[in-house]
Amino acid sequence: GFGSGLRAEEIEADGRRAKSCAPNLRLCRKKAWPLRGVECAAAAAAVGSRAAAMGAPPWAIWALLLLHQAARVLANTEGDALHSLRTNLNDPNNVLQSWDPTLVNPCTWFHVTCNNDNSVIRVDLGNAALFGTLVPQLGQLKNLQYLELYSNNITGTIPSELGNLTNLISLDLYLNNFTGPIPDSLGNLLKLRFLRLNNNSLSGTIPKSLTAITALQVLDLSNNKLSGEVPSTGSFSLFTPISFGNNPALCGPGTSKPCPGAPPFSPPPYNPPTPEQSP
Amino acid sequence: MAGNTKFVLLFLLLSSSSPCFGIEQDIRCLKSVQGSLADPGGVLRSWDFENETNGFICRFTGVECWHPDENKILSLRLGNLGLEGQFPVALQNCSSLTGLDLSNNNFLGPIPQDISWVMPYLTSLDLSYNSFSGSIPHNISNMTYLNVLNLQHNQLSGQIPPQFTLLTRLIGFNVADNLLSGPIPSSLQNFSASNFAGNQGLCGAPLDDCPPSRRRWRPVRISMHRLNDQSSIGVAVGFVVGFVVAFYFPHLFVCSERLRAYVVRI
Repeated sequence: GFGSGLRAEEIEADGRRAKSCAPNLRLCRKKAWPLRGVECAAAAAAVGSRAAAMGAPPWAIWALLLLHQAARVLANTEGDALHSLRTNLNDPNNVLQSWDPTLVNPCTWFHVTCNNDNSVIRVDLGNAALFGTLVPQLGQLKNLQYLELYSNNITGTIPSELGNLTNLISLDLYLNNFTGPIPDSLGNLLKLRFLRLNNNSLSGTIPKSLTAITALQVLDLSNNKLSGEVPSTGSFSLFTPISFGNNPALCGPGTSKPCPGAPPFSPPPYNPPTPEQSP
Repeated sequence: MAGNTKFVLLFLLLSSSSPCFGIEQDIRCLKSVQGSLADPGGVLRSWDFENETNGFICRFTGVECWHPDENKILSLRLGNLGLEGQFPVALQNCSSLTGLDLSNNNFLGPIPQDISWVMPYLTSLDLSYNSFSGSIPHNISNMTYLNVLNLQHNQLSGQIPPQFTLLTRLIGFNVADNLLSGPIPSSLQNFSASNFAGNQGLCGAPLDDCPPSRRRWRPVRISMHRLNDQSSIGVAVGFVVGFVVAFYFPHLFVCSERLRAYVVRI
């Protein structure tokens, strides 16, 4: 692809350099090696020369150069976001060793999966003995589908910026030490199929906004410190006491406690069978 | 009084804590199911219990887990596998089960009368296209989390339990092609009539209204029944005979000398 594999000698031979190379250099990563600036220029030149060779008008060449650079900047944003996460986490097992911020994009990093456009779609860090907290920058991974951070020792709150990950299919933060509330913004994750936040110390109420996520198939909020009424409308009509167990302060359908101030909810709780019903 | 209070407190404490959702139990559940069903297709036989690791049963055909690395079963999809046998009550050990699909197999015998004890948290139950017989357990009305109940194409008889009005989350319901009779509970009237078709005497919305009181009507129906079938033949015969007598015999009377005396001159 563009920008990779072009060495210094090739750039000399190329002759022409795109006029806007200097501004493009500013867009390149500040921490990059000197050669990366040359890479940017080379890439810009390569795009421009190929476009010119194909007989494209000048305005098309500038548009192409801009788009090309924009794509590279986006990939870098995602790498930056993940790098912020790495900075916030303690990693005793060195699972994040391959997370090199000087690379063009994070797609070659272990535990990171990208799509064909070099945008991150999966972060798989389950069972990695990680400590520390999450970062709001995770919300910048616009194409993220799977965020797997289960079975670690992560503390702190769930960033509300995760509500920006509108392509998310699976959010697995279970078996950690998260505290604070479940963000209301998670109700924006309309493609979410798996929401598993069980076995943490989450508090507050279950956001009603979650009932609007019709794609939701598996919900596990058990073993937390949640309180208030369990929603039972919308997608939550699919969920049973198993999803809410071991949250002593939860009340309503799906628990054994009616909410204070409400009439006894119907249907009545399950009773063991009477002798005539058992076989 | 203090003793009573303690007992009440203890009771409240125990009832508010969640039931123990044992995970080893789920392995036992699957082993028992595997052993209790005839499996000509060999799918259940593919369940290999040799190397027990975290979440190993989650990779079995037809098994879906709550979490990929934990042996806790969310649902079992065993449709279309040629399975034979009775309803597998061993499923009782799968205490976290919310979905069960046994459709399109060769199951027979009754649906367990205490099914809500076996699987209280089901949200979806599909037993369609089997040979289950006997009545629909009243007990199902305790399975209040049911969203979908499909019993289509079995040999279930008796009535639809009136207590099904307790199933407030139901969005899918089908009992077509069984041997059911009696009134359809009012809470089910918004389902399509085709979901009740092919039975023996189901009545009430969305089907035709039930007769007001079946016992009182029966004798009248029987006599009307006779009037409809055999009586119509009798009426026809009587009409023909009467016609013949009315027009042929007067001719006899008029023409015959012996009987002429009996003819009344008008």
